[in-house]
Amino acid sequence: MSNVYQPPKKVPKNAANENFDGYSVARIAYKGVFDWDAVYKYVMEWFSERKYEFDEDDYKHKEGTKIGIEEELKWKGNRKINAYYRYFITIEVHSWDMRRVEVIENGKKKKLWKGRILMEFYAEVKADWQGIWKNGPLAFELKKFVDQYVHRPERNAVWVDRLYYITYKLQAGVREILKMESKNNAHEHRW
Amino acid sequence: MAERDFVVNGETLTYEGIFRASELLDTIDQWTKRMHYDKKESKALEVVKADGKHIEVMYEPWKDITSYAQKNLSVRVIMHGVKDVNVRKDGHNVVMNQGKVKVIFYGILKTDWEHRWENKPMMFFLRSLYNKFFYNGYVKGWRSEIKSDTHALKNAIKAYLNLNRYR
Repeated sequence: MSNVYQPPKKVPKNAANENFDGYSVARIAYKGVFDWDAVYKYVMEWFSERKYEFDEDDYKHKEGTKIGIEEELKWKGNRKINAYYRYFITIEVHSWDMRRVEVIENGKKKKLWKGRILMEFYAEVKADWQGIWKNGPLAFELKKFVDQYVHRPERNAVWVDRLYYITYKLQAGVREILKMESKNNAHEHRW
Repeated sequence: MAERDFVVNGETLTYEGIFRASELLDTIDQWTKRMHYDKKESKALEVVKADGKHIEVMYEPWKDITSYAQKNLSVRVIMHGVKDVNVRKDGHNVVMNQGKVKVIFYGILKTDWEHRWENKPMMFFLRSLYNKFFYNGYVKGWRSEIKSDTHALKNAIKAYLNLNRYR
């Protein structure tokens, strides 16, 4: 089992994602047969329906082992909330031993993928995404003060909390595609 | 680093028999929602093997008591050898799961979770004094709340598993 689970990576802490303690918001680790194409399509459609700008930042394909190929992907979606805040959702995917298999589902032959997959969902609320308050040292210090003491309660209670549960909704959708037992999300109604 | 006090330390619950994995996990999720805890899922692992699924899910719901104290629960659910079985219920065939379940509970009181009282030695010393002489009553109250919340969650899971025991 140790080759499937990896401890979560710690990301640098900043004022925007302090509520997430620097770790990923959600993770999925799965080993078995699944429809990788459906996962890919679902994530693309999820970002597109919610008007996020979507980028595939990184794609690495490696020969892997004799069992199958290894791939690393990094998907980034971002969306403007208002003139000061912007949402960033990053999904890091790492798959090992991936190979094509043919299964019979409901009497029909279907080509699926078999392997191990690890997906980590990171979320960040970026303040001053336009960089207006970075022009000079005084403006920057003022921005830091306002972020830390004035905007902080509203940012944590509204924007950060909202993005936190939106990321869980995305994770729950991916788990449903993978047909995992833990696909339910009792907090679906939030935001 | 915030201070963590393990009020409930590693209590376990084991079960072997028929249940529904998705419903069991949903029971925990629904309980945290009902008790107004915030959701945190540290681990969602599933491995499909020939002898059944191995599922590991770790929930770490948290709730702010004050800007100084925070309730943290940790529930680690390990399901082993989970297979689909057909069960006859009320004249209908229902698909359930059969396997072994182990649930490990931790109830943690996290203090100074905003890291305000640990940046300087004098602040750290003041915090220790306050905790020892002024906050004793509050801390005792928070600890008993965490203990009762952890046991309430444990009882909710037991109640769900007991319902399925006689199927």
